Amino acid sequence: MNSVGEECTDMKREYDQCFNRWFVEKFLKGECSGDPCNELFQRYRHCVLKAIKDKEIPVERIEFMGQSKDKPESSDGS
Amino acid sequence: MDGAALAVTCAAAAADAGAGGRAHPHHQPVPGRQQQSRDSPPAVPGTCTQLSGHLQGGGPIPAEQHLHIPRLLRTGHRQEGDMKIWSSEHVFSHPWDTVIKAAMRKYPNPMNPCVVGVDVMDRSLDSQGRLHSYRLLSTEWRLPSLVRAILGTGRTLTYIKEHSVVDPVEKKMVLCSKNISLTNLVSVDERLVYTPHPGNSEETVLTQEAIITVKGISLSSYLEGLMASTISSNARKGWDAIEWIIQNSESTVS
Repeated sequence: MNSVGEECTDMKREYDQCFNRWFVEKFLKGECSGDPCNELFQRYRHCVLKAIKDKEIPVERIEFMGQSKDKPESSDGS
Repeated sequence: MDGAALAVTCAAAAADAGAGGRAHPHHQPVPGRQQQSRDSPPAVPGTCTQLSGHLQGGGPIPAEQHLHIPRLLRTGHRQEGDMKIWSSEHVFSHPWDTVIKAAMRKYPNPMNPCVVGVDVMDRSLDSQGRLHSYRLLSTEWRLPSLVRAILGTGRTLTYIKEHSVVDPVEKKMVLCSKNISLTNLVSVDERLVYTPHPGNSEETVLTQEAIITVKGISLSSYLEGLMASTISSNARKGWDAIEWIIQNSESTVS
């Protein structure tokens, strides 16, 4: 699967692989400690947000599921 | 949509404008589950939370694997355009964990070739240990030439924003999506909820709703027809996609 920013695709795949492993082996089993993918995520996210801005995709306009009133607290990138 | 909110129209693409069915007559309501009333007030597009009411039923549901075809629940006429609400329910014969693993990595799959990109814009755990993911889906429409001519040839790449919440304790995944392109023409809000089958932990129930609001006069009847005729096949593609992911990921690290 590609990223919206071509230059981000490699970072995305690397992160996805890390995330999927964490999601299956830790998160779904109730082990939420640690954040092995955060570094990969921050690097990838920086790239994606820049691509979104450059392409002028209006992602901010829409909010879901009471985003404002139930704001996630930690920035766990995994 | 399950990703694909706009997949409702996405694969509308091509040839199947005449296939599929509006308000499928064979939909079997699930006994013991509260169904959304036809007289209930229309939910407001963009506010997923307002749709949650009818998903809380807890009665037994049949173990059959019959595919429930989405049906038209209500057609409203609101200031901003014509609105339709679709709903369906599907039972996967896999445990919740297996289905969720597949749902989280649903793309790419052969059933939704129009989804060409998936990005995570933000992801975090909330205080209750639920995982929130905000994703951007890039989709490529294969629109009939008539619509393409009206929209302009350069506008076939469209975007969908998606927010999912996975609760590993309660075993519930909720996913909302909405198009962020072409919103001046059409708005598609989709909400999916995956929960374990209340009577069989080896099965998973997917409840799915879509609110489609078509704006403007000239295109509306055409687009409505297009959606009505393709929403069934698109929902089915989503279910097939989950099955495909499950079948094709067993030997790999999920």
